[in-house]
Amino acid sequence: MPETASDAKTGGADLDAGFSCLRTTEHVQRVGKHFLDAGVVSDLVAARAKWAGTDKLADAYLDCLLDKYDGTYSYTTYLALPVLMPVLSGPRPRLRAGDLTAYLMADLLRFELRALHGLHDLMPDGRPSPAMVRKRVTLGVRFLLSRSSAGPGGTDQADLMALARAPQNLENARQLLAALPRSHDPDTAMRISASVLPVDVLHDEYLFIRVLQSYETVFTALVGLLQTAVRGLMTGRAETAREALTEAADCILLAGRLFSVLATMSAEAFRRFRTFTEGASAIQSEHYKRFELLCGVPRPERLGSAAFDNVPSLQTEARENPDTVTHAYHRARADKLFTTAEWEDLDNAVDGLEKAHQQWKTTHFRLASRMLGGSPGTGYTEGVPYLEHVLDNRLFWAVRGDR
Amino acid sequence: MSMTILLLERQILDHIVEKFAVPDDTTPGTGWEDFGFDSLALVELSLVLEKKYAVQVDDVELKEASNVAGIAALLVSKGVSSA
Ligand code: HEM
Repeated sequence: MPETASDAKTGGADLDAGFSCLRTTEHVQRVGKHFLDAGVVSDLVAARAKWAGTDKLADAYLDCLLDKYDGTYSYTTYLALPVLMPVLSGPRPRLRAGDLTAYLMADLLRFELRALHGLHDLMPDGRPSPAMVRKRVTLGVRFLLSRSSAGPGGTDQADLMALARAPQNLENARQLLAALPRSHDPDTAMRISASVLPVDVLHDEYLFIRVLQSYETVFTALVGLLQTAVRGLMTGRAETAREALTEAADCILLAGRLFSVLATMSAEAFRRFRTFTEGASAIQSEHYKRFELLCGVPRPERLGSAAFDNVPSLQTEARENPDTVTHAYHRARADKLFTTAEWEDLDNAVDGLEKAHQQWKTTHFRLASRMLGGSPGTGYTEGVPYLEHVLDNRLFWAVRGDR
Repeated sequence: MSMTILLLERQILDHIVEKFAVPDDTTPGTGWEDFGFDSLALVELSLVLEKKYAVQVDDVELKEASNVAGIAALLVSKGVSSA
């Protein structure tokens, strides 16, 4: 790994100072990506040129970090997705999407607990009050517990909740820090640690980035489930399709709780750092649009709107008659593949997923309205009116006629 | 019913009608589901109540309280008098 930012100082004691990706990340978390010193930027640019091709992680990392300099700044680079997401891809993914979601949320809680007890000085502006940290930690731990019957690290669920309710107690915080899940795979741990590259130094931007990244892992899981549903419908396996659709609905409903964690973000802090995130918006999320497209090709109005203009590759794909649940559903109906009872179950599963997604959109709309007020979106839509308008959109609009 | 509870009910109801776009005819006895309060709304409400009344209150407790009257009683049980 190259020696990058020459003046990057080392920070938290558990960070491996020998690894410059991490040292540079610490530096960025002290000054903000938008405010990198010109000298540091030119060191990074030189390092990237010198080491190009020798380390894939370093390449991806530096491309994300230098996005503003390169003019490639986007949602993908803001969230450092090319650094983070390779752990979920390839023929033998290192992790399941749900595990990465848990690691990201656990990392957020660690950041909160360690800041609360003065154990790090990263992203120091606008630290939340202890009462707000308590709320955030309680909601975060509850989210983690909702995913598994046993508490992380084998700790009893009730014990963990009790600790989360009083994180200002140092001993409680220590126990929580020990119990929160973390990856023991060095590459995964490194990618997670190097993937918060804030534009500013406001504490709450860490929360914002981790919640968005967590949602990306959720969308990845949804894509996998929808692909399974399509295959099930195409190969006459109604139960496989039903199960995948139901699991997708549960996944969205559970993920809705991430909005509750994000609701503890200070609107004031958000308004400050978002002035530097202009041009990065979740409207550019490829995974979200792939999920939507796997459900069915959107209506022409939506396909030709900002929603898909922002993800041109999927807009093109959508126009080439791709395999979707809607398409496979119609074919299976035409081929009379399933019994009446199986169709009933499938229809319920489709309705359940539609409903879960509508609920997700409504919650997103409500939170965005509160945080944003009348300001436009960072993805250049008019903001809240756009989100209100897309509430009318339906994933399975073309399924209905075939019942 | 004590003055404190009535006053708290009024204050909480006014806040909910103003900030959460619920119907004007919402009463202290209207249940959360009746005006579509989801988990996010309860978290947001808990944040507001914590700030306004300097008390620790979880969204789970609010859900269990069922309605505005229940919240007022919950706050009183936590030692709140009124803002
Ligand atoms: C403070 C919190 C948030 C605010 C203020 C907000 C605001 C917005 C706005 C204004 C848009 C419209 C596009 C634009 O101009 O940017 C949008 C779109 C979107 N947001 Fe958010 N958002 C927030 C949090 C989130 C989170 C946590 C996610 C999870 C990934 C998310 C996912 C999306 C998606 C997928 C779209 C595209 C919707 C579509 O294609 O129609 N947002 N958001």
